[in-house]
Amino acid sequence: MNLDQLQIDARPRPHAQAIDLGSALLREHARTVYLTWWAIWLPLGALIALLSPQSLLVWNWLLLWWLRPLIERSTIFILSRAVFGEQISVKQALRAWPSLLRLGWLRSLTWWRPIMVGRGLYQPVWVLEGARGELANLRRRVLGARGAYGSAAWFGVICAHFEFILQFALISLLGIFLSSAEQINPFLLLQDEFAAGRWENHLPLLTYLFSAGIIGPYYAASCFTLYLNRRAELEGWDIEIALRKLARRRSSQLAPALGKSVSKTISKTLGVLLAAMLAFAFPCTPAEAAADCSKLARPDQRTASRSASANPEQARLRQSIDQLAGSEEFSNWECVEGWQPKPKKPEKEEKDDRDWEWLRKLLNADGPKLPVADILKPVFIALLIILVAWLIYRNRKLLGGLLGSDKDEKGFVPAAEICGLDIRPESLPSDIPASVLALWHDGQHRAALALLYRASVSRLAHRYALELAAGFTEGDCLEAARTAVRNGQISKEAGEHFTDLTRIWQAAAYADRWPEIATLQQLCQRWRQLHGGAQ
Amino acid sequence: MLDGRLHLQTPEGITLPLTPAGAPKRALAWLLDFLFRLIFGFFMFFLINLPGFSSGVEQGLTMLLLFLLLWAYPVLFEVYGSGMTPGKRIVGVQVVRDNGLPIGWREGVLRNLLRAADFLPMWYGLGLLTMLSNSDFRRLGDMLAGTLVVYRPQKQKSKRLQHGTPRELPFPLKPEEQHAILDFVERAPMLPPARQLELANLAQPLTGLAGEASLRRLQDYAAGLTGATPEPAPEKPAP
Repeated sequence: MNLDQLQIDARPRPHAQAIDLGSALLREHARTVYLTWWAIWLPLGALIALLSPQSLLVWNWLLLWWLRPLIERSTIFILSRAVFGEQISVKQALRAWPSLLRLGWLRSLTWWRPIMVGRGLYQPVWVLEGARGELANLRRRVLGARGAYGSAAWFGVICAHFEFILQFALISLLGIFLSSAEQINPFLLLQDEFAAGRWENHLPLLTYLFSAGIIGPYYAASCFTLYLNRRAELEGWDIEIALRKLARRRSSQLAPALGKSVSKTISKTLGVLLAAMLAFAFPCTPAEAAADCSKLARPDQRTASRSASANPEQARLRQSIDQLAGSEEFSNWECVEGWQPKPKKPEKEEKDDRDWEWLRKLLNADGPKLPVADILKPVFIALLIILVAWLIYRNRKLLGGLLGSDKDEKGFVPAAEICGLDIRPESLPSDIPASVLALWHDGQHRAALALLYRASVSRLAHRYALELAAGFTEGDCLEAARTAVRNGQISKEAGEHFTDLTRIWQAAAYADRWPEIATLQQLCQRWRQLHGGAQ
Repeated sequence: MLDGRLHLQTPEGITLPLTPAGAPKRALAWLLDFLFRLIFGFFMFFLINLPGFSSGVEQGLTMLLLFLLLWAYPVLFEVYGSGMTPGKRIVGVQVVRDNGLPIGWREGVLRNLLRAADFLPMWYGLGLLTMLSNSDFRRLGDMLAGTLVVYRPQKQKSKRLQHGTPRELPFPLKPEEQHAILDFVERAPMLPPARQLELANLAQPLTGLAGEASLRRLQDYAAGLTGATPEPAPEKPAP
């Protein structure tokens, strides 16, 4: 065993991570390991399938399961060589396999088989260490200590579940594809698995062959890396590797280094001296700033003990090094001045006390004994009730909308004024068309049209209950009227009339284009038909 | 050299070692989460049935509960629990992005949506196979979301070194060699005595001594490297 050839990092790690390392190792050598495994596994499975009697077809996979520990040894053999950089071919592995079975085969096939879930950790004791009897017992006890066997056993339990999952997945996959397209049933094949004389009887063996053929090498490889980790931890493999490397480096350094090292030290010393001179020529800290700091004591520097110097030159070098190390540049001692807030807390508290003194006096027992709490409580409760009431009142529309009440429609008050025109019914003359024509003939054209328009709007708002708000423009009113026509709230003729009237009113009021007398007469006539003359 | 770790290099030149967690630990975490969900689900089901809702309401609430337990539970816990569902927290693993950053909503949702694909054909068969074949133990959801499940860094227990008088190294050592000496001194009490002496003899080029004396000299070097003071450490003066 040459530890320098070790292909994995020997640093001790937690058991779970050591187990995970197994799959990395297995992935590197997957071809060899899996080919070797299947070269034994598949013929064995075929043999069992052919030889088992018809009535036991469902249970013949147990035989395969029972023989598995022996096949795991091939994986351990390949990986144990691979870990030290030796590549094993499939042929070599198969040829070596029978000789691996010599030790401990009886035990691993009899009473160990059902109870030792973590057998993978102990297999290398037989296969690789060649230990037997009492010695093997001791080795196992040492290897399994510190929770290593527990980890291996739990890993075995988990692997058993993984195998079951893969078996089940395979059966479901077949079921999905074999069931009819209308009714996909992943459990199709499970229904007839145990019925006599069906091809499904072969499924347990087939699926076990598949799942254990994948998980088996994984289990063996992971347990093997756990074993390696345990040994590296027990024997300090990583330390040995590092120390050996160190020794090799040292021996290769020592022989040719003597001549070189002297010239190197000289050039180094020169460089350091030059740097020191430069530093001396340009002092970097101004003297004034340093004035206060110079009074402070410097922290003393501790030096580790050294071995006695071998020759006078080393002693001289050490002296100059110490000198340099003690100089300004290397001591790294800095004096920084700055402002810092003083701790002020107690003062502030006092001040606070003074501020609230009047309140304390008022409430304290010294003053007249007022039942402060008894007074404040109802006051606060009253304030709270008022606040809640105010909030409800403020948001009454929102709440009304939430409750979906029809109060809103009834409670709607038509605006008193639209576009600066008074639309209250009581402000209108009783016979509108007559008044309009009278005003027109009187020469007050604007007043006549305005009266007709506001009378129309007033009728829309009050008789037909259109929701006209105070801020509406003529366009808004027109839109509201059209919506009302669409809703059937007012007749189509009324809508057309209002549209015509609005257009004429707008042209007159804003563009100074006045209608013919005939148009006005016609409008008045239509108005009378629609709304009636009087209120 | 197989290490089982990912060494991520940050822009600052710092190497972050991440240890991807393998299928067994992740399966265990899933099982724990499954049990937690089962218990919580039964409890909530009991609560839903308590007030005597109509059967339609009961059914609706139950469906909602099932949906949340199946889809919201892993996402919410991973996004808000720094990549850990309760099961993962107990097991000691954590979801991170594959550049070592903590996961966000995008990763959390994606990797858990893909559970449906990993579940195929039944009981995570596909997820298990991809996890076994992927070098970072990623299932399909992890590949899509660009996430990793890694071991949570454990707090290192600081071990007391055996006392030695600090001593200067005879010649400069590389950092890894210094670490090896510290490791050896730290772990020496756990090694068999014969093995201790064997390793101490291996250190002869460094110490110039053999056997027990070499071991003691290594302890001195270790004390010098850590800056440990010789005997019971006096309290350092406060700066």
